[in-house]
Amino acid sequence: MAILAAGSLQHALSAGLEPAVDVPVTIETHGSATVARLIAGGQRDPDVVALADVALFEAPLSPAWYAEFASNALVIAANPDTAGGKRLLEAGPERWYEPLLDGRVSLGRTDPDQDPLGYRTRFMLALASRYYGVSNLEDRILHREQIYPETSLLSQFETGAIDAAVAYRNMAVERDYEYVALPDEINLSNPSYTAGWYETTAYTLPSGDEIRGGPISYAATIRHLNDASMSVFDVLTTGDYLDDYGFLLGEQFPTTSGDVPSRVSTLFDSASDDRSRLDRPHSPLSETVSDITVLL
Amino acid sequence: MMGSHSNRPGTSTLGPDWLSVALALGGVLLLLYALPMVALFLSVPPGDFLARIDDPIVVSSATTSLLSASISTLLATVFGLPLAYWLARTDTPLTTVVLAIVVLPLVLPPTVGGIVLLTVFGPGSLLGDTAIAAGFPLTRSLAGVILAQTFVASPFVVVTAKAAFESVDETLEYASRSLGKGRWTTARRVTLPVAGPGILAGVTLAFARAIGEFGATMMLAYYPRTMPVQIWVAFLELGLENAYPVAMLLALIAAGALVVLHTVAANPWT
Repeated sequence: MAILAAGSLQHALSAGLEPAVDVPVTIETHGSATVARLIAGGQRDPDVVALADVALFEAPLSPAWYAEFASNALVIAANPDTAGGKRLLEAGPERWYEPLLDGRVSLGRTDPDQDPLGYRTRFMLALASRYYGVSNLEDRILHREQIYPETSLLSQFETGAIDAAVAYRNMAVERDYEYVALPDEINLSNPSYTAGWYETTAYTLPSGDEIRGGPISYAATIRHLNDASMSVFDVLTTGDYLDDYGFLLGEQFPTTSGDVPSRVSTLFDSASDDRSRLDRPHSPLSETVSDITVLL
Repeated sequence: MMGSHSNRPGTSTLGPDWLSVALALGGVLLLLYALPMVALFLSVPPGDFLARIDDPIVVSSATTSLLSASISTLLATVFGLPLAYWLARTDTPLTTVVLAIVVLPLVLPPTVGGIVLLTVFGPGSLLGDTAIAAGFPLTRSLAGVILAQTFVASPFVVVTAKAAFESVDETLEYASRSLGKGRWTTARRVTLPVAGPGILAGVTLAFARAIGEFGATMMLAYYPRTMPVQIWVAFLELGLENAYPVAMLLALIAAGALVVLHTVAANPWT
C-alpha cells in the first residue's frame, strides 16, 4: 500500500498509522503542492493520497471524491532560551503581537507565494488586526527577511537563529516546542468561523489566482479501491492517532465531497457511529483499530 | 621526498616556510569542513546514538546505502574508465561535445537530475513502463537508487580518470606498442598502473558522492530508503535532534567504507 501525503503528516503516519494497520504501507511525503504535481504528472501512482489543503483536490488533482478528516491550527512557536522568545511566551495569547511590534523578537515564517503556511500567516495577521483592534498588524510585523523555506524554518528555530516561528500546531506538539496558542478566531482551525470571518481575507499568488481565507483542512482519497486500501484509508481518516500528534479532530469530521463510492460511505457512517457510541477521544489506537477491523 | 627542500642550502633559512604557509591557508578550508562535523558529533549524546543505530529502519537504510553506493561505484568504474580513456586519447570536436555531456550531471541540481531521470525512466515513459512490465521497475526500487546515484556520481570517475590518463607519458605507451603489445595490453599493463592513483581518487569521489546522494534519489526512488532519505524523513518527523544520530551514522559508515576502499584498491597498484 503506497501512501503519498503532506509533509506535516509524516510523523503521525509513520508512528501512528503504520503500526496500526495490518497491511504493509510505504509512506512518502513532500509539500502538498509537490505531491499533487507528482501525481498529476504521472510520476507517482499511490493507492491513497492525503493533502494539507482541500483546494489541491480541485486542481491540479480532481478525484471523483475526497474526505476531509482533520484540521490543524496556526500557533506561534517560541524559543524559551532566547530573550525574544521568552518575551513572546510571557505576552501570551492576547498580547503576543506587542513584542513583535517593538521589533525585539526575530520572527520566522514561510513564503506566501510558495506554501499554504505562508499565506495562512498573512490571513492570521489580517484577522488578528481586527480581532485585537490593532491597526495593520500585517504590514507592521511582516518583512521579507523573515521568510524561510518551510523545512529550513524549523532548523533555524531549533538552532536558536530566530526567536519565534509561525507554525502548525502539530509541529509544535510533536517536537515539544513551547508555543503561544492563538484564539480560534484567528488560528484558522474552526470551520464555524469561516462564513463572514476567515473568508474575508485573501491573498493573490504571483500566478494571479486569488486564495480566500478558510479553515485548515486535511483531505484524502483512495486512488486504487480494494480491501487493503480501504482498511488503510479507514484508519487514516477516522483513527484517533491524529489527536496524539497535535491535529484537531472537530465534530464535523470526516466529511465527504463528490461522488463517494458506497463502500467508502458506509465506512464513514459506521465509523462516526462508532466514535460517538464509544465516546472516548483519547482511547489507545489499537482498540480503535480493532473496532474498525470488526466493522469491516 | 618530504623535506628535500632543506637539502638545498639557504632555502630553509631565507624567506618564509612555504609548507607552513600552505598549511595555514589550507587550514581555513579544513576548519570549514571539520567544524560542522565536530558540532554534529557534540550535539548527539552517545546514548542517543547507540539507541538509534539498531533501529531496524536505520539498519535497513544503512544496508541499502552501502549496497547501492557500491554497485553505483562499480558501474561508474566499469563504464567510466573506458570513456575516460577514450576522452584522454582522442582530440576531435566530438571529444569536447562528449566531455560537455559528461559534466552535465555535475551542473544540474540533483533534484532536477532526478526529475529528468523520472521523465525518461519513470512510470508513463516508454522505458519505465517496459521495465515495469518486465517486473523490474526503475523507480521506487534498488535499481532506481542505483540509477540516481550513478547519474550523479559517475562523472567524478570519468573526469578524474581522464586527467590521470592524460598525465601518463605517451612515450611509455609508444614504447610498449613498438614492442609489439596491442592497445588493450598496453592500457592494462602500462597506462592503468601509472594512472592508478588518479583513478583511485576518482573512484573514491564517486563512492563518497553516491553514498551521500539525496536529491535525485528522493525523486526517483524514495523507497527503498537510503540513509540520506532516512535523515530527511527523520528531520521531517521530529526535527534536527531526531536526524542527527542518523547523520552521524552516515558519516561514520562513509568514512569506514572509504578507508576499506583505499586499503583494497591501493594494493594491486603499488
